Amino acid sequence: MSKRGKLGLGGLDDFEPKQSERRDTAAADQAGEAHGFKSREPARKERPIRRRSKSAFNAQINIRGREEDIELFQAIADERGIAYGRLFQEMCSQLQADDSKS
Amino acid sequence: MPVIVFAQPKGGVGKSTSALVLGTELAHSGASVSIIDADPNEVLVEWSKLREPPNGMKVFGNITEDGILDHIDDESARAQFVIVDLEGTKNLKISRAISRADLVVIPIGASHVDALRAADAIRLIRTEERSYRHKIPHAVIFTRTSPAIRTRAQVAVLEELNEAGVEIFDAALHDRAAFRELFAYGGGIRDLPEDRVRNLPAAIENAESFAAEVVERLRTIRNQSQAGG
Repeated sequence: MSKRGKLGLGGLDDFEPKQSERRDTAAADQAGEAHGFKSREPARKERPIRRRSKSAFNAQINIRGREEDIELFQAIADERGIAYGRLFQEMCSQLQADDSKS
Repeated sequence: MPVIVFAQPKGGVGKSTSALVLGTELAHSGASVSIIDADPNEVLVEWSKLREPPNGMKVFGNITEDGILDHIDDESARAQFVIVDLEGTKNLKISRAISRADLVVIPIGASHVDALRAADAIRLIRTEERSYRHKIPHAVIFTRTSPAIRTRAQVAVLEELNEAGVEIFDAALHDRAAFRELFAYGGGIRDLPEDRVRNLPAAIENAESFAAEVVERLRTIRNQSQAGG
């Protein structure tokens, strides 16, 4: 037995490394929960898989044009109920087709 | 092997200081000591970077709720003593660490608020004792006390704890400059520069009596559990 106030070098050999008894973690968690000892770590949420749009309409150009042409372009798109990108595609295709005919 | 858990859901009561004082004293006596710093503030990890920790001592940080028990289990199979320091909040790591504790040390200052939070920890320990059908020895230690006098508040808290049947350490860790300087210089109390730290011999004696009482309690606990089968 050690004397109070004197640990003594080499006086602790009676303590040996030993596997601690494994006990069910759920019981500790339940006890903690019951007394308000809660997790402080952010809950790990499954990351939602981001669905990237498969749309091919993802490039952009910035055209400087005449105001009336831009208005006409917008009006045609509105009239047909299609997006500008779609109208742009159709116009290009049409022009290409016309060229190949002539 | 013994796992000593420092648990007190209130901050600023001297948990890390008392854990460190115990750890360095045990290492000074030639024991292998693993300190598991499970407080996200990691003041003990910081301390270990100031100066090489004493021989036989290892300090582990970056401890998650999911990882804490594996760390405790690994280290108790490797080191003679495992010391767990925890955050001063009501957190899950406390309840998990208690499930592995051979001794829970609950530091409190001489104040009613500290005693109330200590009571929270003790209620948790008692619930875990019932769940595991296994005694989890625990005791309160007064910290930051005056070496000269026992304040009225201290006496009142002492009476409250006695009435509640709570075990209390005979030793108290006094409010000593040396204990604060540990975090400035690194190393153990005995490594501090005597010419720069006021009344170092008294602090060493204080640290020694606390560590000796922990060892004594651990021996008693071990003998009781062996006697009880």
